[in-house]
Amino acid sequence: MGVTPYLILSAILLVLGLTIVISKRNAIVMLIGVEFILNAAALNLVAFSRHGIGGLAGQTAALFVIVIAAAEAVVALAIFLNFYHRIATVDIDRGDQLKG
Amino acid sequence: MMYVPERPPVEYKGLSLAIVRLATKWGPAGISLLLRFAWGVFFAAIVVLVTFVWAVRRFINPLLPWFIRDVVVVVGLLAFVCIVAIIGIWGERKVSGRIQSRLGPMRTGAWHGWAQSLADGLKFVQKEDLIPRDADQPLFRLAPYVALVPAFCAYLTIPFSLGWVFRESDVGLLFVLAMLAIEVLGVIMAGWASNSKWSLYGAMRAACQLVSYEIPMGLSLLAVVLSVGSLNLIELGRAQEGGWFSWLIFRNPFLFLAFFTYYIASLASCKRSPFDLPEGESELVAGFHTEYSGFRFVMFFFAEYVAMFAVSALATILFLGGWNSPVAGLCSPLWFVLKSAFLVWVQMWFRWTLPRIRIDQVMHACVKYLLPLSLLLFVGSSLWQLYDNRAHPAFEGFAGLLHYVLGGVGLLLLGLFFAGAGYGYYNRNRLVGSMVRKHLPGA
Amino acid sequence: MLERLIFVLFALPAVVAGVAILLSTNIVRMAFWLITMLISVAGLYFLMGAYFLGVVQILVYVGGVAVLLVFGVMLTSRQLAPKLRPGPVETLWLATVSAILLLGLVLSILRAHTGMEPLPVPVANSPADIGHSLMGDFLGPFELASVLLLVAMLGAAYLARPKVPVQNPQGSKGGAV
Repeated sequence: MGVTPYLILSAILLVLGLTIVISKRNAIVMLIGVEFILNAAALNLVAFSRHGIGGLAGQTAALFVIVIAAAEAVVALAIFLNFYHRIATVDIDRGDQLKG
Repeated sequence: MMYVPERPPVEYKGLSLAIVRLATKWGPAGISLLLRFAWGVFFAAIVVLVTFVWAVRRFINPLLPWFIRDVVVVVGLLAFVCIVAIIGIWGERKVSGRIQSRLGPMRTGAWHGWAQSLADGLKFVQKEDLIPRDADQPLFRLAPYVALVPAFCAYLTIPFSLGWVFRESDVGLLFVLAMLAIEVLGVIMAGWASNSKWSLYGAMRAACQLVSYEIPMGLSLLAVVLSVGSLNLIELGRAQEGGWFSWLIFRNPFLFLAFFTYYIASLASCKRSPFDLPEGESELVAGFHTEYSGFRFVMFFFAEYVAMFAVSALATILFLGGWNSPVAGLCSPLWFVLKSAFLVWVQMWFRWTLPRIRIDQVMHACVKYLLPLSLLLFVGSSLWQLYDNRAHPAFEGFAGLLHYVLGGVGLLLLGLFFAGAGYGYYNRNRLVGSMVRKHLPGA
Repeated sequence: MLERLIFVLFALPAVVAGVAILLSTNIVRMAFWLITMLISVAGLYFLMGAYFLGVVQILVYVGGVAVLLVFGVMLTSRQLAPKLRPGPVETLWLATVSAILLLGLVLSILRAHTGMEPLPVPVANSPADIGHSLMGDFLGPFELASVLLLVAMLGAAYLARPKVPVQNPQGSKGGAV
């Protein structure tokens, strides 16, 4: 089937994730958008690995992407929870002050 | 005169309305026709089935040779899963009755109420489909399926014997664990969509508990995987083909403890007592499935028993020899089902013997006791593996001795179990209360 | 042909999930659409023969990260969120920028089409191969990833600790769920 359909799907997911990150005001939904972007990247890596480029490195790199995404989601969520405890909302437009 | 309030008229909408209209228009005539030509319908169904099979073989099989075998095996697995759930529900009620010195269901069906589950199923199916008005409708309807379908999918890689597996997979063990991990989402969906604070509390506690206990479960299983060197469930079963002493639970004192660690973690993973706070009847009404009634509740109920059998099946394959008999050389799916059923029965035994523990005790037990213990077992098992070879003959001798000692301990425990069961059966009239003996048959 | 069909079967929910998140206003439903996307991508990994990766995606991503996100959504969605949708001008800008980006990416993919054919046998790399790769070529990143996970765990546990108010003389018993 070739590698092109996987690459196009990965591009679509990337743009969707980017749009979600740009357009949403809720911090946790931004995090969801970032997960879209990371998954698109991992899909890309595995698609190339399947079609002969790079051997097993693609799958291993995708494994690392999953690990890093997990770590990042945990820390980001902890930060957002702190944000929520301070100003009782996760609307990131309200986080426009450097003080406190 | 007692005031009996009028039942508000039921409003049907959509597809339900169409079905009700169809049934009320053609129902009575249709059912009497069906009963009149019952035998004809039966034979016609057989003819249709045979024609269907012929058509599939003639037209689809040349294109997709794997189609028939896959469909037949999946239908067989579905049937097996349903039978497991039905027998599990009946068994739970009988076992709980006997432990509480009473008899359990005795009337539905002539022998010890074996048809109780079927009667329960009929009762649930004809119940009114209640959905709270402020519940999140799509999520509410979706949640039981998200709970049940992954529990069934876990059976796709579980081998019942050599060659009796839907798809043998190099990552079969992890696949089963992954499917059991998706169930958490069904629980959360159910709790949130019910729009009720008891359901939400139950769902949150359930999610905490389930996700936390996946770690000791996985680590204990990984200790076994280290010993054998493959995640393939058939390989793990084939490594135990030597009779009682070759079972993986006896290979290693660390693996012996890993069995118990895994079993306790799997109890928590199935939300079974003593970890059944998410569905604690005396605390949260019914936890995350409070608002579910009728067939939706049946799906949650089934999901629980299906998951119980799945985790017991994993324990059987990894620790207790899978489909191999205690005597070397015989293997059969019956041994597998027998051992898994025994483990399910022990789960029921735990439920009706131990009290429920609080959510903070549940989390402490996981993080403070089970997790360090399973890490220790993992490291210990890998170190044992490192030294238990021909390069260290002294250690190898010691390991062999311990191997047989553990096997002996296992035999002793088995003997104690049968002795206790025999004693209980022999003295059953004395041990059961007098009211049971006097008033109920079959004691 | 069957591979194409299954590819479309798994790709469609992923794209539909993304679009649904953009158009939706209910945050909890957005979290469940994310889960749909994650499971679809896991299915694509299975299709490509990366079984271990697909299983790890479901175990870690769906069973861990997505559950965490759903928790976060439920814990912080109690405020009455004004369901603001972006105004027409902003929507237009957003659509334009996204469309240009997507067009650029797709064009560059199609132009760089090198006619790569899939390997004759689906390379079902066993977990043993991935293990060798992790311990061999990727040993450095492996150790760094473990340090990263440790740091993330410590950081998150510290950041999310229950904060005892200072003026409470008796002290409070530890917070619980």
